Amino acid sequence: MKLAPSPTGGLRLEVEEADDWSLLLGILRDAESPGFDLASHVGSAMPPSADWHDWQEYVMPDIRAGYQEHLKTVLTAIESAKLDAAGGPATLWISREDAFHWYAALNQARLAIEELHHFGSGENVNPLQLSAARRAAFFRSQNYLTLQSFLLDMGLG
Amino acid sequence: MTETLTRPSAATALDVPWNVVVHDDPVNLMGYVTWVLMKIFGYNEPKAALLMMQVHQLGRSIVWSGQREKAEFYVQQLQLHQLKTSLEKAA
Repeated sequence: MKLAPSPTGGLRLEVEEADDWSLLLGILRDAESPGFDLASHVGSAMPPSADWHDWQEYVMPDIRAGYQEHLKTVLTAIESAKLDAAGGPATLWISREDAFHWYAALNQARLAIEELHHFGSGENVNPLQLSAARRAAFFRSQNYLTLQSFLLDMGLG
Repeated sequence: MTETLTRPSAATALDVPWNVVVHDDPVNLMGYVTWVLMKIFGYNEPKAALLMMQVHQLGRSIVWSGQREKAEFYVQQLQLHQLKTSLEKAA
């Protein structure tokens, strides 16, 4: 897969082989890892109180819906491009308007991986010392980080 | 000159400021945290970057203080942007 700026200020993803589609769809799989609830994670510093119970009941559903909207936008873009290309090579365009959806979906995936594997910033991780499953998760997280950095440089709208 | 003494009403006395606190995590990029603070609070880049560095170096930063209702709104917005955030009564 190759990344490049698009002429309209967005980002162009060149999908070159079938594995690239798998990598892209992995964003959604990681973001929706079983047992990981991002809304609970970002609210975990809230002090436990009666208000916190209200927050969980009335506010967190809206927050979860917001997260789902990002994932839905990204899934639709990937599946639509994959269908058009019959699973083969294709160009996937990320417009400036959709950049934040992509960034947020990638962030959900990275936060879920961090929750499960605790790689931290990744600086002190030696992939050779990881099990195959953890190594794969580490590299996926690094790939997502690369894409996020491109999106951030391009501007999130 | 006549001096007017005022006694705070119950409502005023209870209206202590609330702090919106952002907590550090190893995933969110520094540039992203800065961007979120600019977007949600309308801070200029130097102020947003300063608060972001507090989060990064101290583990947390009070990014806004004020009325509770507004503070709750900001916490919701920050959590929607996937930043670990809490609400606390100002000391």
